[in-house]
Amino acid sequence: MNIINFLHRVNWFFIILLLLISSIGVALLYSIAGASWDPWASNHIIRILVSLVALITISLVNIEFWYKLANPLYLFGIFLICLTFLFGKEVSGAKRWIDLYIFSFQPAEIVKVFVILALAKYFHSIKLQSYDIKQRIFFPLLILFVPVILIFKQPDLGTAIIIFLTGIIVLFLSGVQMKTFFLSGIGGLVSLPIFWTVLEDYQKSRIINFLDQQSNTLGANYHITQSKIALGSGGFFGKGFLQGTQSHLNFIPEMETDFIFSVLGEEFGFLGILFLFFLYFILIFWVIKISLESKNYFSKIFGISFIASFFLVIFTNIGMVTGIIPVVGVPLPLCSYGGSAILSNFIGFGIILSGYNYRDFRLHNV
Amino acid sequence: MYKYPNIDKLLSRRTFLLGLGKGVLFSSIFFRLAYLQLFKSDQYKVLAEKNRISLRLITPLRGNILDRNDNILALNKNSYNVLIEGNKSRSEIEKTIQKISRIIYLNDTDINKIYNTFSTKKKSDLPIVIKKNLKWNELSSLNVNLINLPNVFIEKGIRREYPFENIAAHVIGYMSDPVKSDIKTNPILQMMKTDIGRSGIEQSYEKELRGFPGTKHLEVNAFGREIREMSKEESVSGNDIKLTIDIELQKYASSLLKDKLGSIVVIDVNNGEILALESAPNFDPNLFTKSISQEEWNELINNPMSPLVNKSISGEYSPGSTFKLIVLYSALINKVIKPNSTITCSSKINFGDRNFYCWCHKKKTGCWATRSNTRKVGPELAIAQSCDGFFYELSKKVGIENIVETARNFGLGSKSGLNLKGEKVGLVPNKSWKKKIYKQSWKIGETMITGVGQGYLTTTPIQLAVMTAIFANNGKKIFPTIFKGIEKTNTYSDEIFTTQTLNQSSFFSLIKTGMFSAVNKPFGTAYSSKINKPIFAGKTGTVQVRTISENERELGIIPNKDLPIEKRDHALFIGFAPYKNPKIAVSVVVEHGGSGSKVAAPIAQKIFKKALL
Repeated sequence: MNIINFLHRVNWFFIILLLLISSIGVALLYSIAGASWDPWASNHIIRILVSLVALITISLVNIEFWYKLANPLYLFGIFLICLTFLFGKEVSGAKRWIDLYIFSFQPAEIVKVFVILALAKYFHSIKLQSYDIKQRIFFPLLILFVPVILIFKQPDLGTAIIIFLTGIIVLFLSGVQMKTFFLSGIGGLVSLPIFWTVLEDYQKSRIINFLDQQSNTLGANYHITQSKIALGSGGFFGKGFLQGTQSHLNFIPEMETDFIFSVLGEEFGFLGILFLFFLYFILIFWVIKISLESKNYFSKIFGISFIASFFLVIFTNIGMVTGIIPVVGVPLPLCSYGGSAILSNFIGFGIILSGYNYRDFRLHNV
Repeated sequence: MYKYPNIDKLLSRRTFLLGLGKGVLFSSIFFRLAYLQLFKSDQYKVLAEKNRISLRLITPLRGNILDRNDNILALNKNSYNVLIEGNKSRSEIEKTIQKISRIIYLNDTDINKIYNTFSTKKKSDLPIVIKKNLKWNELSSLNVNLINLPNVFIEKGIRREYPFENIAAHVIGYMSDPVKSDIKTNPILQMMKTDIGRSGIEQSYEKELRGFPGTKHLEVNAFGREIREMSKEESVSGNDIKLTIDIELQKYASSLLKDKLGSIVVIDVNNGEILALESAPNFDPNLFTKSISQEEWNELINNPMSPLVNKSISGEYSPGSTFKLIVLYSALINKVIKPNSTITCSSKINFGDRNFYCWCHKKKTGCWATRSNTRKVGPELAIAQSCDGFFYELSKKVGIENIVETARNFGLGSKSGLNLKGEKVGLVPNKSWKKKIYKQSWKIGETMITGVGQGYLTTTPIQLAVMTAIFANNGKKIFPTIFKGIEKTNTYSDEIFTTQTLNQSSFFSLIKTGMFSAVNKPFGTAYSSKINKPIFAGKTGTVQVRTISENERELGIIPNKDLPIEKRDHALFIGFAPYKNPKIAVSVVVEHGGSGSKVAAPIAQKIFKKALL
C-alpha cells in the first residue's frame, strides 16, 4: 500500500468536518483561558490529533475485524467500569476515572461505543430470524442493562441515561414493535417514583431546582442562571471573540467542559450557534446517508445508532445549558475539553468510516 | 405469528422516524436559543452587566475639627477594612465568613452585624463590611490568605482619630457605626464604610463634616476580584469645623477636675464664645473607633459617674447662692429695695411651719461680724458674704414671679443655644408651674428657698456661665457659641435686654461690687482665692444635697469631710475677670465637692490665671 493509495482511502471530507467542529472547541478553549493556549486549547489539539490517528487507523481496518471484536470489546468495557470501583479516582464523590499515571481515563465514554457495537453485532447475527420476544428484547436489554446499571452506580447519571437511551434507539431501529415502546413508555412513567427513590440526594435536588429555576439563582441554580445570562447577553451577533464577560470573568462555571456551549453563545451569538448547528447537521446527515448505503446490517445499525447517540448528547448538553432539561453532566461532543469523550467519539466515527470503506463487504455470522 | 418485514426497509423507516424525533428535539433547543438570544437578549445583557460591574462608594474625607488656635482635635487616619461582595448567596457568605473567622478574630456582634446588613440591604450588589479598622497583624494574615477567600477584598478607608484623647471629648463627641434607625433616615450610610457622629460636634455638624461620597464602577470577576476601574466620580470632602474652644485651656480645666465630678465653663463675655467646656469625668472617644468591646461599652454607660454625659450642658444643679445675683437684680429693677437700703439678718427666720436658717446661724463669724454687730446688711455685703437672711427677706418682697422673669432674662430655664445634643433647660419654677405639676398653690416659703437658689430651681453650668457673662458686661445679651465658623455671635450685641431701662448700669455695678468684695475683701466668701493679677470677681455657691434636721442644727452641722461623698454639698463658683474690663466669665460646679469657697473658687481662680495671663 503506497502513500497515494493511503491518501486516497482516507475520508478527507469527513475528517475535515470533524476537525472544523473540533476547532470551534479549540477557539473557545483558547478564549476562556484569556487568549492562551494553556491550559486547555493546546491539550485539546493534542488529544484531537491522537484521536485522529486512532480514527484513521480504525477506518482502514476491515469492518469484519470490528464485527468480530465487538463482544470482546464489550466485555473489556464492562471490565474497565468494574476497575473504576476498585481503583477509581474519586472526584467529588463519584468514581468515574481510571488514573493511568500519564493521563486519566473515563471508561463510561468508550463503553457507550462498545455497547452500540455489541448490540449492532447482536442484531446483525439474528436479523434473519423470526420475531422472538426473548431474542428481540430480553437479551438485548441484558446487554444494555449491565453497563448502564454499573455506570449509574459510579454514579454518573448523565452517561447512564445516554447509554440507556442509545440502547433503546438500537432496539427501535432493529424493529421492535411500536406497541412495545408505547407500553413500556407508559410503564416507565408509572415506575418514575421508584426511579426517584434510587436517586442520590444531589441528583434529586438538581431535578427540583430544574423545576424551579427562578429561585435560588445564587445557589443551586447558579450554573444555569449564569449560563442563560451568557447566552442571552450574546444576542444575535455575540460579544466577539475573546470578548465574553461571563466567561472571562469566570461567572460561567465549568465553562471548559459542560458549559462550553454558553461561551460559544456569548462570544459568537446566535449566528455562531447556527454555524455549529450547520456543521453538526452535515455530520449527522452524512453519517446516516453512508450508513444506509452500506450493504451490511451491522454497519448500518451501528452508524445510525452511534450518530443518534451523538445527537442525544448534543441535545442533552445544549438542553442543559439553556435550562430546558435538568443539569446532567454531559460534554458537548468534539468541543468540550475532555480526552475520553473525544477519543471515544473518534473511535466511533472510525468504525463508521471502516464500515463505509468496506461498505460492499458482506459480513457473515460468526 | 408476527411476520418480520424486510429488515432493511424497516431500518430505513425507523431511521426516518428517528430523524423526525431528532427534529422535534432540535427545534426545542433551537427555539429556546432564539428566545434567549433574540427576544430576551436585552434583559440578559443587563444582567451580564450587573454581574461584572460592581458599584463601590468612595468614602469622603471627613472634615477635621480644630480649636480656636487651629490645633487639630479630630482628624482622619488611614484604616483598612475587609469586605465581601454582596451579590452572593447567604450560604456562600457564611462559608467565607467561617473561613475568615479562622484567620482574624470576629466576635458575635461583628458576625451578627454582617448578616443584618446582608438581610436588610436593598442594593444587593454593594459589598458588605466584615470588619473595619483592621490591625496590622490582621491585615497581613488576611492578605496572605486572600487567594482562598473568594469575593473578599480589602479596602482602604478612614478612621477617626482624636489626638487629645480625653480632652474636650464631650465637645468633640465620638463616632460609631450607623445603626438601623440611622440607615432608615439615610440609606447611603449603609453603603459608606464610615461611622457617624454620636455626640458633640461630631454629631451636631455631621452633615458639614461628612461630605459627599464618590462612586466608582469596577469590573469584577465571579470571585469579586477587581479587574479594572471603569468610571470614577470623586468624593467631596467634608468641611473643617473650627471651634471656639482653646484646647490648652480645656486641657488645664480637665486637669483641675481630675478625679472629680463636675463642670467648668469658660465663656467670652463679649461675644459668647465658649473657650472651655469641661465635664468630668470624661472619656476617650478613640475607644469607639477602635470598635469598642461590649465590656468597655457597658462600663461606660453603667458608670455611676456617667462619663458620657456632658455635665456642662446636661447637668441640672441647684444654683445655690449664685442665684442671689438674680434675686438682687430683680429687687433693684422692681424697686423693692434701693441700692443703699439694708435688711436685718436674723440668722433664723420662722415662717409658716418651718425655720429658715442663714449660713451664719450659730457661727461666731457671720453676716454681722464685720459691721459692729449691727446685723444690718446692705446689697454689697449680702453678695460678698452670701447672706441668706438678707435674701430670705428680699425674695419674699420681690415675689416669685418677678424673680422668675429676671431669671429668664438672664437665660435660665431655657437652652443656651449651643448646638450640642443633650442640653437640658433646668427649671425655673413659678406659681403656674407648681399648680400644673403638683396641683398645689405656691407657698411664700418656697419663694424664700428659691431666693437662695435651692428648692425646685435648677440650672446648668452653661446657663450659669452665660448669666455671669451678662452681669459682667452690664446686661448685654450674649449667645454662647462653640462654632467659630459661623458669625452669628454679636448679632444682638448692643441689646441691653432687661425689661426696664432705669439705672440698670448702676444696678449692675452694685452687684459687681458685691462680687468684687466676695473675692477681694477679707469678709468675702472667696477671699482665700484672691489674687492681684488678674483681679476677678465672683460668687460662691454651696448647695445642700441633703436635709439638715433641726436636731443636727442644735448639735452642730456635720462638716462635709465627715459625710459620705454622695451627701456632701455641691461646690459652685461663678465669676468673671478682669474686674475692670471683663473678658471671660467662668462657672465651676464640683459635685459633692464641699463648699463653693473652698473647692470651686480656687478652681475658677486658676482658670482666670491660665486664661488671662
